[in-house]
Amino acid sequence: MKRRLLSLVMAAGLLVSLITGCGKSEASSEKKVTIIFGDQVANVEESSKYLWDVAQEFMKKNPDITIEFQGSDHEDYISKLKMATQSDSLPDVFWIEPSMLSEFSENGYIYDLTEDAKARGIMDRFQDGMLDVNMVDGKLYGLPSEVMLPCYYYNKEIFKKYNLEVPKTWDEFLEVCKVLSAEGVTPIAKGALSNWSVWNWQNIFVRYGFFNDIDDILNGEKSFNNDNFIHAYEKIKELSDAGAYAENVKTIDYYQAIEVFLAGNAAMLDSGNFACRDIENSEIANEVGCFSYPLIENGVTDEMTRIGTFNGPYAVSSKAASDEAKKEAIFKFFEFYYGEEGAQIVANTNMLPTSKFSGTVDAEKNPVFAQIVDLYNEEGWSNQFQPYGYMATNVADTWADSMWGVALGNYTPEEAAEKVEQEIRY
Amino acid sequence: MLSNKKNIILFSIPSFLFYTVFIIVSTFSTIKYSFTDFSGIGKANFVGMENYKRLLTDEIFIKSCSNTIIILMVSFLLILPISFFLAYVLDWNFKGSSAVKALNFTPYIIAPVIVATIWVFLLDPTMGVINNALRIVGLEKLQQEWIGGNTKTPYSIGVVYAWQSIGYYATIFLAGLKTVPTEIYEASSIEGANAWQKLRYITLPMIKDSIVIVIVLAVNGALKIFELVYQMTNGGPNHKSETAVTYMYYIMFKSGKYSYGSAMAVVVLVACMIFTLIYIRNVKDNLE
Repeated sequence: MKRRLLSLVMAAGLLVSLITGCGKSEASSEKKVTIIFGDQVANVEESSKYLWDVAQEFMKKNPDITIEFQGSDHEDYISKLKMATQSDSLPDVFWIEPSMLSEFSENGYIYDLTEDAKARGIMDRFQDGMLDVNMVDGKLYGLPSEVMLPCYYYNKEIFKKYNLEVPKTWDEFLEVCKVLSAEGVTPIAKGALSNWSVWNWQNIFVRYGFFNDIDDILNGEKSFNNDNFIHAYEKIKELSDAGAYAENVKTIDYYQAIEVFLAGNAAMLDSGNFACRDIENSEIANEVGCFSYPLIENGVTDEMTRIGTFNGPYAVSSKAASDEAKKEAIFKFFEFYYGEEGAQIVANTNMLPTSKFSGTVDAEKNPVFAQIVDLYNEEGWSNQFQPYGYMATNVADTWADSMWGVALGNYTPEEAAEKVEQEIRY
Repeated sequence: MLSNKKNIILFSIPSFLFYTVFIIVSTFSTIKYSFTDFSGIGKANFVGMENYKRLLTDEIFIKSCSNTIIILMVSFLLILPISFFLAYVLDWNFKGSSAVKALNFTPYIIAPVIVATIWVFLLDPTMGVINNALRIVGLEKLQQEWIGGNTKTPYSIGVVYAWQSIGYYATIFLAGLKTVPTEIYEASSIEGANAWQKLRYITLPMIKDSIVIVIVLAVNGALKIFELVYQMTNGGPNHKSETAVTYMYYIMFKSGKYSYGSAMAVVVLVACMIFTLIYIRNVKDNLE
């Protein structure tokens, strides 16, 4: 009898602990506010250090506010976000693709930031037009997360060894790849397992009029399968035919490609400003330079057109905004993040700040970052948004896949364009 | 007391509830969604057989099905004979057989993601051990794109899955072998039977149940392979090495086409049910 009672009590205890273990922990005191912040990297402290550092400093200054990060790798993050809308469990603040803003705002998941951002002077912290991509019907639904400036990093020692100059035009670029390939050196480090690591290929499409036509294409007035885009795919094919990529490009991912470059086993890396910190901290930091994708002669836009604005924005969930204390805390954070002090903290992690910044960079201590800043400020460029974030996630994914298909010889340029066209019309 | 009908029902209720909610309800929910255009956000609108029609012309889906069948065949042809042979040898209880048993079982307890990562270092066409070894001994011509190419990945996945699970299936066979009474072998020795005859006429018939179990588990396991494909090639390049499961995952969670993925799930479910029915029918006939 006693044994039975004991086992019943233990079973009940296990059940209770199971149920309470599954529930969320509430804030213990009423005055503390916790902001759940979603980011599209698995390890926020490492991969979005700029965000992490700003949050730590902010929490020091505001001990009654806690910011808790929830991060997962890009593809998982997007699917988790969509699932969270079904269970009303979106984070309070979260990274989002600009293309998802309209769907999310239509369904009432995110908060209209226009009034609050204006009132707190946050809008003035950016140059005119930079926030346009985060607007839906003239209302602001997102604030910038990080700068998106694709570039090629190159190993100066390898270039010197084979008497190569930084290529200014597309033909020079192909020549450089051919020379390196003939010498048995991997010209460009790239990883096919990371479908989304296609920044400099996107630049080619921008040059062939992506933003001139994309709205008409998405509306159905024009087709994605058009001559301009086929020319863009052909350029990707030219690069691949010149031997630009290693044979094992199909079995490594983007992060492994970075390792290949940092180990000195590739002459260039297809990446952007966001990789600066990893390169700065590596052994070859003093031998690395960077350049924007080389100029293509017969495109559609001005010759000096490139991607050079922002990555996806941070949105605020409607649920969080309905809680006055939370809303206040969130906007306090935004004021700090986009203020001078926040921008300086971002710059200290070798990332370009999104807001207007008047600090300086020590070129001795941060040789790579200094070059990135110069590249960002280079005159003459028409800086565009990132096409990848402009289209629905499944279309963007198919587009990236189609570019890889052309590079790996699995699709012809026409087939690739057709695949994206069909995905848009799905 | 435990044989009391009332108590039997009472104890079965938790499992029954669990099964109903997570399996039965989910299955019907999936079937429902397969007839809509649900995309994960917003409403689901009825569209009839559209998703199923699309499946028929989806080249990637057809390729993923053929890849799945290849993996099934390769792993099946490797697992059944090798694990049985392993169990047969281990049954002799030679010196150190316990250590060998443990070693053989070890791959099965390694997490599949780690197994995949290890095998990438072997199979990678450029930096992998296999191709490099072939190069060193002068057999460069035999080098293949074991993974990362357009055709050979499912064969490699089958081999890796077999490597991982042979120890497990050998354990099942070993347990089955131990149930065969030794008197029968002794009696057959007196009658003049040799080892091969003993194997064919005594051992195999008596472990029929184990064989059935291993076949069901092996086929089931091969159909469920996800981490191996995901980690080694992510279904690529360009979806050439997708299996039914990984492509379903891609469509539902990466492309956000929940309804289309649901249709895919239903088709795979129906295929499995048909196979199971045919198989059980066959086994029943054979056993009688």
